[in-house]
Amino acid sequence: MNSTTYNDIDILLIHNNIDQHSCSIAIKCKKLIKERIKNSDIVMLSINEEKELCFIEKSQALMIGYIRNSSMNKDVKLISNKILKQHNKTLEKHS
Amino acid sequence: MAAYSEDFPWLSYYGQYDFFEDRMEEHSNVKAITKISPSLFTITLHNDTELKVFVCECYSYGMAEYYETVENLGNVDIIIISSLWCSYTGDVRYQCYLKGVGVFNIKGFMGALNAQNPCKYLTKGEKEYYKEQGLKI
Repeated sequence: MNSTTYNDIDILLIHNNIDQHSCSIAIKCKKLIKERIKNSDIVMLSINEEKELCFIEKSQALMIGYIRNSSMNKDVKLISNKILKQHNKTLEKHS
Repeated sequence: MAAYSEDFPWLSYYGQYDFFEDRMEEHSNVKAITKISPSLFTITLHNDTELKVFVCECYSYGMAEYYETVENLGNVDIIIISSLWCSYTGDVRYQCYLKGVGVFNIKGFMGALNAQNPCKYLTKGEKEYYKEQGLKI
């Protein structure tokens, strides 16, 4: 997929815990997603941090998918495509 | 929204932190403030302690953002979440405290600047809470 520019695509990346390894994986995912969706705003929170802030509830976030460390590139590509598809549908609906 | 800026270091909408700079210049314990970059400052206290301060607008600043900050800027002494609508997690506040890094909003940092070691400053409420939770302080 070519890099695509959007407005107002907010993404929440939830990772396992606050140790450096888990955070590094989240940072790597964030970089890969931003390469594909330039104007995405990405929040990274561990499972517990998300619980503390009730971020999903407050933002009414929708589940997009899982990213595994062992297949990160493939998973990010799938998720980015899914976002693109959904975003295009939304744009069509409002055009 | 993570922050206004899509790229690190999550600059403010105006790309500057005038409000933060003004508050620092007014503080009785601050001798000088030097801007290293739009979001990075050195604050010199009257006892000549120098603090490397990173100021950002990040909607929810957590531990991953902390590691991302260090990856981009190296070690910092203080992290300021400058907007009223932005916040930091309890985990990043406590874990950074253990590392000797202070995470504050501007009001919290104004109070911390009066402490002997601003990086390790905890409010009375935070101290009590950590004790209740059996956490090391």
